[in-house]
Amino acid sequence: MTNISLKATGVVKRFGGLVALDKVNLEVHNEEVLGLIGPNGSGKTTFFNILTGIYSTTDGKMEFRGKDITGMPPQAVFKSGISRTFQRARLCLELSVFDNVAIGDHPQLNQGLWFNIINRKAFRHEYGSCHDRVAELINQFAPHLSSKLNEPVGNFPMIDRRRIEVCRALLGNPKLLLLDEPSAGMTEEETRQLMDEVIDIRKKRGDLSVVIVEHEMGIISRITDRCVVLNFGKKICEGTYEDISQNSEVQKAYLGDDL
Amino acid sequence: MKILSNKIGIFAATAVLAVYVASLMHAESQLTVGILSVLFGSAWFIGDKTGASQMLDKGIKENGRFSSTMFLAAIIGVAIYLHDDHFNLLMLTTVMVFVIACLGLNIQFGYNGLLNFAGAAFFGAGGYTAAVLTQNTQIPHLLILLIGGIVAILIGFILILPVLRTRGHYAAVVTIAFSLLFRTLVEVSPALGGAQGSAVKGLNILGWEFNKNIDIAGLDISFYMNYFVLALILLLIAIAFSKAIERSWIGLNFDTVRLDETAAACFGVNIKRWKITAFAMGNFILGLIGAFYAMMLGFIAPNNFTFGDSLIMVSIILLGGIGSIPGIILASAIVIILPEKLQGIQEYRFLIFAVGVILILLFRPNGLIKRKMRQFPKTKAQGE
Repeated sequence: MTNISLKATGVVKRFGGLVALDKVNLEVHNEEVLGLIGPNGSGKTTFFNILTGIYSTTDGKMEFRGKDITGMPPQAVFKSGISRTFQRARLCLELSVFDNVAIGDHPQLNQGLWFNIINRKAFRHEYGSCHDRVAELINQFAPHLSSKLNEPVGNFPMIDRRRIEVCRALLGNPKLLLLDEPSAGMTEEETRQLMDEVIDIRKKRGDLSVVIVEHEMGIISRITDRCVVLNFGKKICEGTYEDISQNSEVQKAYLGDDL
Repeated sequence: MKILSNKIGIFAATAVLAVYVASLMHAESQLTVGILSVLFGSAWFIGDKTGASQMLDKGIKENGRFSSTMFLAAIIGVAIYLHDDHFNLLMLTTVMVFVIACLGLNIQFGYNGLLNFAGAAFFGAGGYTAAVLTQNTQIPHLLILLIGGIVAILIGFILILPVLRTRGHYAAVVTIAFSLLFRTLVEVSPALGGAQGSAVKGLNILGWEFNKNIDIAGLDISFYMNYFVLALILLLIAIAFSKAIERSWIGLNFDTVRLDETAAACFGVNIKRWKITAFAMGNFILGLIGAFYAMMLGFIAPNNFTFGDSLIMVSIILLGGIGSIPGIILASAIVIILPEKLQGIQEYRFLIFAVGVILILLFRPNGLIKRKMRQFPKTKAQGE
C-alpha cells in the first residue's frame, strides 16, 4: 500500500446529462510516470480538473498519500503536494517570468500584511531566497531565460511559456506533477527536450510522480512507465505502452470499429 | 536629446513643469488657459514622437530618488508661489485629494481587478463620518480621519458578499447599484442633513486651527496651506503604501488574482482573502481622504458623492494608465484643473471626459503613462 501515491476510486463526474467520467479507478505509484491517454473528449483534462479541485466530483473518492482529498478546494490540493500545468499554458502574460514562477512558491512565502508592507527588511531577505530558487530552476529548464527574469512572459514563444509553466509547477516541490498536453503548440523536438528535462528532474528529486496527458504517442512510449486509457469517461485499459498498444479496445477507440 | 536622461535634464524638466503649473494656475483669461492647455498637449505629443519622452523616462528610471525629490520640490515650489491665493491652493489640494482617492481605487481596480464604481460613495462615507463626528463629539481630528477610513471599510463589507460571488462586470454592476443607493440614503436621512447637506468643522490638530490664515514674519499665507501640507503628507504616505504593496508578495497575489483566478487558486492563492484585502485597503484610503476633503470644504451634500463622481474617479485611472501611479497624478491634474480653469467647458465636462476616455481606450489603451513592470527590491546578491 505504501507504494501508492494517488488512488482514485469510482470517480464520477456529470455535467448535466453528460457523463464525463464514469466510475474511474486509477492508481499512481510512487516515483512513476503514468500516461493518461484517450481520444478527444474522453475525460482526461476533466480528471485533472477534478483532482486539483477546480471541479467538484459527483461521486467517488480520491486519496493522495493516504489522505482523503475528495472535494478539497484547489488551494488545499496544492498544499498537499499536487501541482499541475495547463493545456493552454495559463500564465499571466503581462507579468514577468519571475512573477509567474514565484507564485508557485505561494504557500512558503509570508503573506502577512505587516511583513509585506512595513517590515521591508525581512521581506527583502525572503525575496532574495525566493529569487535564488526561481533562478536555479530557470537555469535548469530555460538557461536562455535566466537573464530575462524581468521581462513579461508575453514576449516569449510557446516553448518558453511551457518551460516557465513547468518551473512554476516544480518550485513548490510537489510530490505529484500533472502535465496537461505539454506538447500542444510545440514541435516534436521541443517536446522531446522538455520531457527529457522533466524526467531528469524526476530522477534528481526522487520522490516525485508524474501523470501526463498526451496525444503524441512517441512521447508516451518513451517516457511513461504505465498507461491508463480513457474513452467516453470510462477506463478501458491499463498497462505498459506495449500492452495497451496491442489492446483491441484501445485500437477501436482510436481508429474506429471497422478495423 | 541625451541630456534628458541625466540629472540636469530631469531638473530642467521638473523646473519647466513647475513654471508651467504655476502659470496655468495664475492664468485668468480663457485665452491664456486655452493656449497653455494646447501647449501641454502638443509638448506631450512632440515629446512622444521625437523620443524625448522615452529619454526622460529612462532618466527617471535610473535616477528614481532624485526625480521624486525634484518633483516634490516642484509641487512645494508651486504652493509657495501661490501662498496667498485661496482658490488655487484649494484647487491644488483638491487634485491631491483625488490622487489619493484614486490610489485607493487603484489598489482595487488596477492591482486586484475589482472594478469599483462606488468610489465616491466610500469617499462620501468618510466625509459624512467627519461631519457627524466633528459636529457631535470631541474626538481628536486625526483620529476622525482614521475612523472615516474604518467606517468606509465597514460599509464596504455590506457589499463584500455579492462582490465575491460575482466576477468582472457583474461585480461592477453591484457597485453601481450601491453608488446610487448611497446617494439616496444620505438624501433622505435627516441625521445626515438630508438633501441640504451638512456642515463639517475644519481640521484642528493638537490645537492648530487649520481654518486660520497663517502669518509668518508679516507674510500672509492662506489657511489652505495647512490643508495643502497635510494632503501632501497623506499623498506621500499613500504613494509609499501603494509602492510597498506592489513590490511585495501581496502585489503579486493581487495581480495573479486579476489575471487568472483559476490558475492562482491552483497554486494556493486564496482568492477571497485577497479580494477582501484589496477592497478593504482601497475603501480605507477612500474613506480617510473623504473625511479630510469634507473637513477642508466645511460643508458636504449628497450632490458631492454621486455616481458621476465615481465615474470621474474611474476615468482618472483609465486616462492615466491602469495601475500607474504617475499616470494617476497626471490624469487627476488634468481632470480637476482643466474644467475649473476653462469655465467654458465646465458644462460639457462629462461629455469631454467621456470622449477623452474613449479616445484613450482606442489609441492608447495603456493610458497616458503605462504601468511599469514590477520591480522588486534589489537583493545584495544581484549587485547594483
